[in-house]
Parts: sequence; structure tokens; C-alpha cells
Amino acid sequence: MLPERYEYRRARGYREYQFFSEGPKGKIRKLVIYSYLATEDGHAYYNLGFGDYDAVANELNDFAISNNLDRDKVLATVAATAEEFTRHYPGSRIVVKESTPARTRLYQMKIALHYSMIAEIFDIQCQTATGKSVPFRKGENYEGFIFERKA
Amino acid sequence: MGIVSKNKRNVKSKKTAKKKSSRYFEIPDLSNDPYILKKNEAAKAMLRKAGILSKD
Repeated sequence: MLPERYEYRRARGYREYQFFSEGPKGKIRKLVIYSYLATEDGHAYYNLGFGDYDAVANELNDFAISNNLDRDKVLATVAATAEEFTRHYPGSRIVVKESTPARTRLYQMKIALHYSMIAEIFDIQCQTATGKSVPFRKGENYEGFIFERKA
Repeated sequence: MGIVSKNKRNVKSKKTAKKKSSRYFEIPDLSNDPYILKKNEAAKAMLRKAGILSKD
């Protein structure tokens, strides 16, 4: 079963997405941004940036802990944007390098939970602390992830 | 009669255009956002460590 997610809107170019988290803390504007990093061996690498948008400061904050009791729904929405982004940027690779180890562990747990569904669409390479790229294995700790849509 | 029809067509096409544009949102300018810049640097460092990007 597909996890519940929010409806989102995209900017022209399919690299930025916006949705609103709704919960006890109110309506929180979320942005998902795929920033171009580099091209190597014919693959363009994009970094996944995601967080709460503060319109007053005009900045994105991924350290914010919203506590809006909708974490899974938010992550499912981010995953949906990755699916759409890679459809429009074939051959691209999404780099996920989180700002805190706790956040990385959270992503690991969610990848493990939905692995079969994710693996139908994406190849996942995981970066170890020693700099190795290895396939995803449940229970292992990683520094980050690289997703590539399967052909 | 012909003029009325033309106007109606114009009204319809404007409505359609408005509906299409609502699929998108205007992204705020975050090109110098410290969080994004820092995160991109961290991602590049990870790719360098993995040997995907060259060290220079």
C-alpha cells in the first residue's frame, strides 16, 4: 500500500517543490529543492535539500523539528517529488546527505521499512564512513545515500 | 455576432491560461541560502570521499 502523502506543487523546471504540512502545530510550508552539484561519467548529481521555509527570513531550515505529527506523510511526499524529479531528469542521481546523524538514521529506517517499494523504482547506493559505496543493507549505518532511477 | 463569439473565445482562453499557471509555484530566491550552500558542500565532500568527484 502506498503511504499517504500531501499534494504538492512544483516550480517550472521540476527542481523545486512545495507542500504544506498540516497538524497540531498548524500549517507549515515545506520546500524540497534539488540542487545541481556536478556531472561525472554522464550522470548529473543533484543534492536533495528539504526543510521548513521561513518566509520572513527567506531561508530553508532543515534543523527545525516541526512536531506536526505527520513525519511519515511528509517523507512520503518528499519521495514522491524524487520520483517526479527523476522522471524529468533521466540519468540523474540524487544525493542525500543529511545534516545530522539522527536524521540520517531516520532515513535509513524509512528506507528499510519501504525498501521493496523504493527498490522497484530506484537503485540505492549507500556511502559508508570509510567512503565506500555499497548496496543498502538493513541494520547498517551509512553517511549518506545516492538514488538513481532504474531504466 | 461574430465579434461576440471572438470575445467569448478570448475569455475562455484567459481562464485556461490561469488554470495552467496554478500548477506551479514561484520559488523564492534561495541561491545564497546558507543551509542549501552548506548542505551542497557536505554532499560534494561525500562524493569526493567516495571517489565519485575529483578531489580538486
